[in-house]
Amino acid sequence: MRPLAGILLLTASIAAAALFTNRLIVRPWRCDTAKDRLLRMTIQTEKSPSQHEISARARKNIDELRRLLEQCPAVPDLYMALALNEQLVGRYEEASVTYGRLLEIEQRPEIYSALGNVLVRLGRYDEAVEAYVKARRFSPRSGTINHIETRRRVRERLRQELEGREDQDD
Amino acid sequence: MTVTSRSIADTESGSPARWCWERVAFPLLTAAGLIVLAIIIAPGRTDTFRLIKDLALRADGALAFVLVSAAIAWAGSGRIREMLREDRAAAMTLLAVLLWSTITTLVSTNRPLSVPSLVDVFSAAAVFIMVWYGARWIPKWVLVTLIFTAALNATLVMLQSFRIWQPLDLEATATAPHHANTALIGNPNDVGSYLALVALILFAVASVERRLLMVLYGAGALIATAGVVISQTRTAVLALTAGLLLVTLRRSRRAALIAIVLLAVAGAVAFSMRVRVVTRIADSIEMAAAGRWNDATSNRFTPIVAALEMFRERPLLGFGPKTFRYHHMEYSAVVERDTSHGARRPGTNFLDVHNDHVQLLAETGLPGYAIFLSALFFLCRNPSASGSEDSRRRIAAALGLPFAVTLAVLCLAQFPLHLAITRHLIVTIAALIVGWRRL
Repeated sequence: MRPLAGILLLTASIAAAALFTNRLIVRPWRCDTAKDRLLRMTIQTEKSPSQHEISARARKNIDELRRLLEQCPAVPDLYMALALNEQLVGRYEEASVTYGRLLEIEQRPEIYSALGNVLVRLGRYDEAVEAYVKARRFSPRSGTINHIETRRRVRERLRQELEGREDQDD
Repeated sequence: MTVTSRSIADTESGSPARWCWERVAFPLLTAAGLIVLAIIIAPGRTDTFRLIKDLALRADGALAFVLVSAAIAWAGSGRIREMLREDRAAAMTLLAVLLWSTITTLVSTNRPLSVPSLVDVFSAAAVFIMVWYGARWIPKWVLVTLIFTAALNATLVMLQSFRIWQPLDLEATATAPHHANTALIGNPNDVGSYLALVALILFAVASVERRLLMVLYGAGALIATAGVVISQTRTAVLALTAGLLLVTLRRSRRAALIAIVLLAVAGAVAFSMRVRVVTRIADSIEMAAAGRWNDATSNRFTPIVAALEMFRERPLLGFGPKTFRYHHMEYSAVVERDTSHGARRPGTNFLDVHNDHVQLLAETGLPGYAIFLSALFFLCRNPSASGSEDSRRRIAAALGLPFAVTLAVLCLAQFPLHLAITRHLIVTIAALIVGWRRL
C-alpha cells in the first residue's frame, strides 16, 4: 500500500472510531448517568414534605427530563421518570401521552398499570380497563386498582377469560 | 516482501522473533479485552453490570477497527487476502452475519430497539476480525488471562454465596438472596454461562498441554467449574458436562469412559449431599414429567413458546433484533390463553427469551438461525492432517467441537449471544480457533 493511501486509511479509521466512541459509547454512558440522577431526584421529590415543594421540584425535573429525552430517546426509565413527575404536578393528560410513548419502545405490565392509574384520573374508564387487563393478564399481581368500579370490570373481564380457558380445557 | 509477510514467515519458520509492532499490539488488545470485559463494573449505579460491559465491548470493537486499519496501512492488504484464502467459509459466515443483521434491522418491527443491537453485532465482528487477523502473532499465553478472570470471578461468587464477603451493594436490584451472587459478571445465570465457557476452554487447553502448563490450566478449569456449580445454573452444568465429555473423547475413548464414570460418581455424591444445582436438575426433570413446564424451566417455557409463535408469524425476516422484549407480553398472553401449549402458570416478563436458538428464530427468522448453525458447524471443522506442530494449532483442534457443542447447549436455556461478556468471549475464542487451526 502506498504511504499516502495508508495514512489516509488510518486517519479515516481513527476519525470513524472517534465518532463511534462519542455517539455510541460516551453518549449512552452520559444518558445512563443522567437517568440515575433524575430517578434519584424523582424519588426525593415524591418524599418532599410540602405540596408546594413537590410541585416546584417536579417541574424542574420535567424540564430536565424533556431536554434529556431529546438526546436519549431510547432510555425507557427516562419516560417512566417523566410520567411520574407529570403526575406529581397533576398533568395527567401529558403523563398518559408519555406512557404511550414509552409503550412504543417497551412493553411491561407495570407500565400498563401506571397508564391505567392515569386514565382513571382522567375519567377515561374504558381505556383504563383495557390497560389494567393487559397488565394483569400477564402479571396478575401488578399494581393496585383504587377505583372500585374499574376494579370490578377488570376482575369481570379476567374471570370471563379464565372461564373461556377452562371451557377449552374441558 | 512486506513487513507483514516477513513476520508471518518468521512465525512459521520458528526463527528468532523479529520485532514488529503487531507482535505486541494484537496480543495486548486481545488479552486486555478478555480481562476488561470480565472485571469491569459500575458500582453504585442502577445497572451495575450490563451497560458498562456492553460499552466496553463497543470500545474494544472501535480499538480493534483502528488496529486492523493500522496494520493494513502499514503492511498492505496481503493478510486480508490470505485470511479469505485460508478460511473462506469463516469469512462468508461473518459477511452473512453482518448482512443479515443489517437487513433484519432495516425491516425490524421496532427499529429503535434493533439499531443498538446492530451496533453490538458490528463491534463484535470488529473484535473477531482483529483477533483472526492477528492470530499468528497472538501467543497461547493470552489464554492464561482466562485463568485469572475465572479465579477472580469464581472466588468472588463463592464468597458471596457463603455470605463471607459481599463487596457490592446490590440490595436494590437483588430480588432474592441467590441473585446477589453476581461476581463481577451479573446475575448468577450470567456467571454460570461465562464460567462454563471459560472452564471448557481451560479444560481443552489443559488436555493438549504437558506438565506444569497442564496443571496450571487444569487448576483454572477446576476453579471455574466450582464457580459454575456455586452459581446453581443448571444449563451451564449440563453444557460444561457435554463439552467436557467431547474434550476427553478427543483424547481417547478410555479417557471419555473414565470421565463418564467420574461424572456419574460426582453427580451421585452431589445428589446425596443435596448440592443445590444437582437437586434442581432432578426437580426440573420431575416437574417436566408432571407437565409443569414453567416450573421446570424457571418460567422460561412461556417466553420460549411465545417466541416460537412469533417465528411462525414471520418465519423469513423475523421481528427484528432485540424486539422480543417489545412483543413478549402480547404473545405470552396468547400462549397462556391457549392451554394446548401447557403453560398453566404465567411466565415472567423476560426481556430475552432465555433460549438463543428460539430468540434468533423469532428475531432474525430462519436465515438468521441458519447462519448461526453454520457458524457452529464451521467452528467444529478440523484442519487437514498436514500442518505445523505449533501447539496453538493443537489447542484450536481440541477446542473447536467441544466449544461449539457447549455453546449450543448453553443457548438452550440461556442467552450467551445477547450478553456482552459471553459474546466477547465467544467471538474471541472463535477467531482464535479459526486463526490458529491454519498455522
